Amino acid sequence: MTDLSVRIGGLGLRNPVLTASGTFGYGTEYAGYFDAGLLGGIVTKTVTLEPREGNPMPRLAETPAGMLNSIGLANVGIERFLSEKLPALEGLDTRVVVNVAGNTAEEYAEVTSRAAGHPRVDAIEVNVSCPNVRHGGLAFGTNPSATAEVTAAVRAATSKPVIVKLTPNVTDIAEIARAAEAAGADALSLINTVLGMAIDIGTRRPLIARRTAGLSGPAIKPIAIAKVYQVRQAVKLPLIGIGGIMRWQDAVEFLLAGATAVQTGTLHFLEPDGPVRIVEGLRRYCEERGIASVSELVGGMIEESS
Amino acid sequence: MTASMTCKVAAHGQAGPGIFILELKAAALVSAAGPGQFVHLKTADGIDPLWRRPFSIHRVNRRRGTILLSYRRIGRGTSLLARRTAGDTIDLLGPLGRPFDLEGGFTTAVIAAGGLGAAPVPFLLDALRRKGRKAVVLWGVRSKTELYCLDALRGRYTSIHIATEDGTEGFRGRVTDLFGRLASEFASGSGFRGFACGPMPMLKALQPLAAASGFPWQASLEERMACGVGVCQGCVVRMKNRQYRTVCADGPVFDLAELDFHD
Ligand SMILES: Cc1cc2nc3c(=O)[nH]c(=O)nc-3n(C[C@H](O)[C@H](O)[C@H](O)COP(=O)(O)OP(=O)(O)OC[C@H]3O[C@@H](n4cnc5c(N)ncnc54)[C@H](O)[C@@H]3O)c2cc1C
Ligand SMILES: Cc1cc2nc3c(=O)[nH]c(=O)nc-3n(C[C@H](O)[C@H](O)[C@H](O)COP(=O)(O)O)c2cc1C
Ligand code: FES
Repeated sequence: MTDLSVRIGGLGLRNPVLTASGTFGYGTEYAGYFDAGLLGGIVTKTVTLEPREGNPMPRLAETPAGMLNSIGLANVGIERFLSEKLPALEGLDTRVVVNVAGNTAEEYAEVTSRAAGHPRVDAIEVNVSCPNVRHGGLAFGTNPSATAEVTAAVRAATSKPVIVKLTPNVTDIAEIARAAEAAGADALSLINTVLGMAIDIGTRRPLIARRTAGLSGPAIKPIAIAKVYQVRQAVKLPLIGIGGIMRWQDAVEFLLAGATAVQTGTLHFLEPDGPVRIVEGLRRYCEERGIASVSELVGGMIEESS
Repeated sequence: MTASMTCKVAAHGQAGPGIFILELKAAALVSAAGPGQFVHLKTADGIDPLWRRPFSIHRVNRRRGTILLSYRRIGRGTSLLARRTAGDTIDLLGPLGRPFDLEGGFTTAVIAAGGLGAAPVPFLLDALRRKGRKAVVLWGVRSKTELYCLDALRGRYTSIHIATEDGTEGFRGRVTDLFGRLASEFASGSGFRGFACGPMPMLKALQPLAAASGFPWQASLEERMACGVGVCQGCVVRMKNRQYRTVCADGPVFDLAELDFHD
């Protein structure tokens, strides 16, 4: 029997597969399709201080091996999140990570302290990487000192594990990762979506109302693998790999590149129970190779050429 | 409860130019589904196209334990779908969304459909007939060859009016023009309930006519969809109160008067 459990900055996970923010709702929408208790954890949609309506339509476009989204952090706000959404997760036997964002470092801290104060919440993921809002999000995550400021504010607001979610839309991701580490992050997750755009050549209009959007899905997997590999060299923190994971083989690839766990996102739209199949695939892969613990794979890529 | 399931193709055939009717073995859906709901199908084995494709439930066949879909082949997903033959399997989520509301007091349904928007109408008529309600169907298409499911519409308590844009059958013009002409027949207002299904421009054009009709209208909407279950927030429509609602989970059926088409 392979041990699939992993630790992410003090947080023990049953297995290394979580659902990515914004692709799993508030944790109950897919309840009819499979038991989320089979996963390492779930990450909620980004929660902000005030409710947000999100961006104008159209917000979605399908692209080769991927998709563009410009949802714009539409969410019910921390108040309703605590009163309506969290109680529904009470009976769920898995880790609950709340993803937070704000317009200022103070807002990040306030959402964090209110969310993390709830016993059902196991960890906080800090979204400094959303490409679809004007304030907050990417504006923080593309600047090392702003990343550090937000991370430190969130760190001061909770003793629960803090995971900082990084954007690939930077020149040097290692620099941002080091800033988050120095400011007190317990772990890093990467990547958020890649800035992308598409134009309808018939109408000459952008396919997304806000023009640019976030690219996700298989198209971004090699980018994500490279970012995980680069960040792995730069920091000691555990990493959660995200980007284009469709099959268990992709998850193994992320672990070999240096991730301790992974998140699945776009996959859910094709196959709601996809994350569970990835857990099963990981288990088979390890068992067939006599690997006692899945964490043996982490950073296990062989570097020297033979 | 909704579920993901693998269904066998029971039958599949062409019903008009580029229009197909697909019958799927799905006994569990037959009793669970209501008119106006849809299913989300995987058209590819791999990731091209990446997303599932949504289709209204056209009809259910209780005896055969099947659901029928009707669709137009317009792009990659529907082209792949059109290649499936009897015995093949298809991965499906459903039934999804909220059905038409058939509760409460009305004696006659006024149904306005545009093009392939007629897809859910046979299922709706079957449900109305079981409740002993009458129906007047107004169906607008470009040309008469697109009247692919007339037989499925005909039946007890039902009268059908056709509009074609090229004048090859029935009234020459659009379904909204046709409704304008027939509006006096519904002038009493009481006892009627309206049901509209078709493309956004048709629903937008219908909205003021419906408001003047004196009876309430429900409309079934279409939007590009990724998840189909209310998770991604990608398929929203604006309501008059300025709030967004998801077409897939809060709809696809909405109160026509509450929709804000000016976004
Ligand atoms: C709730 C719901 C129910 C639906 N029910 C039916 C149905 O019963 N029968 C049916 O034929 N279709 C129905 N549709 C539309 C159907 O989902 C699309 O036609 C299908 O997704 C097209 O896939 P494709 O890969 O073939 O085309 P794509 O390659 O995705 O698109 C080809 C072209 O068609 C356009 N297009 C794509 N989707 C739509 C759309 N919804 N409306 C107008 N233009 C579009 C694209 O912009 C593109 O230009 C429904 C849609 C929704 C949201
Ligand atoms: C529709 C959609 C909504 C998303 N919303 C959020 C969000 O609210 N917060 C966040 O941190 N990331 C969000 N993401 C990014 C994902 O969590 C993930 O980082 C990204 O999609 C890459 O993974 P994937 O290729 O497996 O989807 C969203 C992605 C999609 C597709
Ligand atoms: S398609 Fe995802 S919310 Fe409707």
